[in-house]
Amino acid sequence: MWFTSFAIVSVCVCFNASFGKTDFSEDARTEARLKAAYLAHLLHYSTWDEEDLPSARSTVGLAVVGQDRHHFAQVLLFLIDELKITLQGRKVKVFSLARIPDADEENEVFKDCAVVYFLQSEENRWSECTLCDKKGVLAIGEGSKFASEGACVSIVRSRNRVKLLINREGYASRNLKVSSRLLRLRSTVEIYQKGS
Amino acid sequence: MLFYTRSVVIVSVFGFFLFGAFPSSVPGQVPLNGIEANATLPKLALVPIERNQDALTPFEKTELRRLFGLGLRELARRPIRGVLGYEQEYWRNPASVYVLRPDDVSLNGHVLTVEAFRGVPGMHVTRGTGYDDFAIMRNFSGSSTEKFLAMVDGREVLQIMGGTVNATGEGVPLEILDRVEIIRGPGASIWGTNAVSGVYNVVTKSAAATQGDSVRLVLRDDGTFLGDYVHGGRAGEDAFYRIWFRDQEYAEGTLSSGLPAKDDGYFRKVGFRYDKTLSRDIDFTFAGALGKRRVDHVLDLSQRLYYDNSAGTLGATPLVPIANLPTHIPGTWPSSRASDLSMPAGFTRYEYWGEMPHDAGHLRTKLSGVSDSDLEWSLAFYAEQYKTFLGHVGHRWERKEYDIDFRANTILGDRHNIAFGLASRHMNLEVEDVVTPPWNFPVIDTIPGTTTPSSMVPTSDIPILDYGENPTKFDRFSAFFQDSYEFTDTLLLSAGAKFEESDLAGTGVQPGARLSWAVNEYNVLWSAYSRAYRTPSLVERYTKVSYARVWVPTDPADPLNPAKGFWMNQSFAGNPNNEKEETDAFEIGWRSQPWVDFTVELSLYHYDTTNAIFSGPPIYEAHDVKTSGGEFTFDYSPFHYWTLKGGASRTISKKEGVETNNFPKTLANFSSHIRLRDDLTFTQNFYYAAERTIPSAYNPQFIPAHLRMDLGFIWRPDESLEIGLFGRDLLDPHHPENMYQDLELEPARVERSLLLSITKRF
Repeated sequence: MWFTSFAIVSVCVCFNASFGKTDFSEDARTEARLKAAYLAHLLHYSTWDEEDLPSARSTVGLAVVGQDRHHFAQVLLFLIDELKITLQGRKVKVFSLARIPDADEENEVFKDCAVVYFLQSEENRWSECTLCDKKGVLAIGEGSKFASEGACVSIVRSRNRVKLLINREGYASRNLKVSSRLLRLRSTVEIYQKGS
Repeated sequence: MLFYTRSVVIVSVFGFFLFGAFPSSVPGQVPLNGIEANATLPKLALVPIERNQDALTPFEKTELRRLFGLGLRELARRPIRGVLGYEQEYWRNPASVYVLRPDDVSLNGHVLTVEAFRGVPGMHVTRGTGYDDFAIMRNFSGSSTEKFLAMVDGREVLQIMGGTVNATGEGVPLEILDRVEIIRGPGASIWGTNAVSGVYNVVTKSAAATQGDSVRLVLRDDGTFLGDYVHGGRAGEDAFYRIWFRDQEYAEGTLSSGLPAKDDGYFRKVGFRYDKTLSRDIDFTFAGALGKRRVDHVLDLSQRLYYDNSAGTLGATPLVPIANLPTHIPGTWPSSRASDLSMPAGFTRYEYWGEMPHDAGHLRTKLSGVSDSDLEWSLAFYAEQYKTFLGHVGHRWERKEYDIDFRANTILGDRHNIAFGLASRHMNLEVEDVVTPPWNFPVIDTIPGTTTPSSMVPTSDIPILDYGENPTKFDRFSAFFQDSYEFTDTLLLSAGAKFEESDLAGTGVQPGARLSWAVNEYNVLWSAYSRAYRTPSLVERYTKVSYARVWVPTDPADPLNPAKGFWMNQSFAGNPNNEKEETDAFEIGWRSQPWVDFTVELSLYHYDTTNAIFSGPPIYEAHDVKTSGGEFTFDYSPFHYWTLKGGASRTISKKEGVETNNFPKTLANFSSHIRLRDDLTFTQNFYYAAERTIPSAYNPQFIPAHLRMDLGFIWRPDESLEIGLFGRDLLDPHHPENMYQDLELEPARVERSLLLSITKRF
């Protein structure tokens, strides 16, 4: 009796669920959550020169740039709001932008941002972005190309894990500092070496 | 059966009509604020993101909080696509899971982690003497034998001799405890033999997570004391260590009758752990511990020796008056004699107690990593030595055990994550049984389970437990394979089997299949079938138990004349043919999180067990048992300063068609934490256990239903200091909970107590 009941329920579950959604986005959503958790930690492990930030009572901007198919910005916003994550004591406001702006628009668009996060969709356009030169902007991107081409951090998917690739020059060129504690986490962080 | 038929119908209705029939927004289909709008804008501009409550499911929000709570090291070890059943807190996990955190111990006024299991629906935790905590899960035997698999950092800690877990001996300081994963129900296809009623795995923190120093002191008003000290430091480039010490002192308690329980003593333990990241993808861990316990244990002799026990009930006639005992019984051995209300008028209670030393140590080393071909692997090696002497029954054994365990998993294509593993164990025992003083006199032995003499020549050489010349070396080899298959975003299947070749349990296959369906953003349904084995303990299988001696008068006209009668040994034997208990388990469950601060879970199960072992006399018997039940769990935070947790379970077990009463049919618990100020929390805990009867060869004990209430205040002025003051068991001065069946005459009192705990981190 029990076996029969169990089998019936299981088959029903299979049958009913087969009408559900069929694209395999659960992995991508999991990946987005892991990346957002990393990004929230990175705000803590990075240090801005106070001169590059707005006044202590102001809000700093965090821009998410690119095609956000898996609610990365919402995930990040939830973390920042719920856990009251700040950037050197300043409230963080999350913005979105559909793509990397043209060079003449960049400074205007990102003028109040201390963090810019580039989604995977922008990996090929990243080299055109002149944001590399802007002081006080933590540039982070999804995929190894970002760090190798001047960004501070790449958040990369590798071997079914999410890890960090850190470009120390990227930090230095933007007048930012990265925690030595973060750099010592060999299981988590890879330091980008030019030519590697 | 009607109850279960209804349950199945209810779940089916949930699946088809309640959830399936109504259109639901599927994760991933919620429009984003800003981004789509941007696409149509002629000029790019940042668009502020507003919280879209539907963008993330409550399950996802809860996981996000948990992910952020992890350190970066732990975050880097989180797989994107996991093996179903490995990550216990994954909301789609098709199993009845409860995860205990250190706060569940310290905020609720528990001294040891095992005590916090009282807050886990479906688990029955009881106290025997001061150092004995028994934890049972969905049990169908009701004995002190735990029919579940207990592990500490992956190391099996179930004692094969008696089939029990020494929860005190396996305890670790709260500061190094990361979590305890409690999986109710069998998971043998991954975990292996003995994962019948469930599995619990104590997971300790990495050495990197316990840097600095910490002290925890717990003092009870009766003088019982626990002190932990933990020190952690750096040992080089990406290498960390920690060492820890524990001292636990037990004050003497009282038996139900008011007699002293003689359970005072101490337990001391030292441990270490070293973690090193060898390369970006390879981690190394080396850990170990050494523990020493010195306590006494009492064996009641009243009906084993001095009073006739043939009627099987305490106080039944005919009793042999103590004043007329045969003169050849020695009066020199240590004993306690006390008038006792639980004994018939004019009779004296007799006990024998002996030291029960316990020394145990283990080493654990583990290498884990991810290969270039994305194969995640781990290789672990465990070595353990365990020595004990049950002085009250004269049973000594030493166990040396070596385990090697390899596990791996890899993603295969878009939908599969396969896991597989191999493990081998070698165990070597040295067993010695000695005749304790009360039993050292001539007696006629009998054939176990009968009153038929095996020889008419009296002998003084019959110990209470006799392992004899039975096997002492055991090997086990096992392999498992499991595939987690993602049909759709919402439907997951995990199927696999564990193959085992064992000297104790023979050859067998333990298959399992688990199905998880995320009905919508708020509800998950799951079902599972598992076949699991339990290996009978060595006592159940090989040991002859001489539980009593009976005076047999040869002259009915003068029955108490020592010259006209003889003593006859009464025993029952282990059964070497009891190879394994086999359970077919069916489970269905529902997990719902309608909003982020409210979770409810319901799981229903039915176990069909063949060859379940029950202790004698006349012999360790195997019976068919059917057990059905369910657990309900909730976790709710109505306000940010108030958290409510609780649950209830109901179980019915039938042995050969007859309902048993050795496990409480109903268990319930309720916990409330109110943050009165940012640094001050008020806790209330209620635990209810329905009545039951502790089975025993000659003195079954009725344990009335009991409601326990604990209240406490916890002051946390900052991260480094926590002071808690608790009143425990406040509703009555004392009550009985448990005893070792067949050994003890009565349970100890579990008394109302006050508890002070102080934790300081430096």
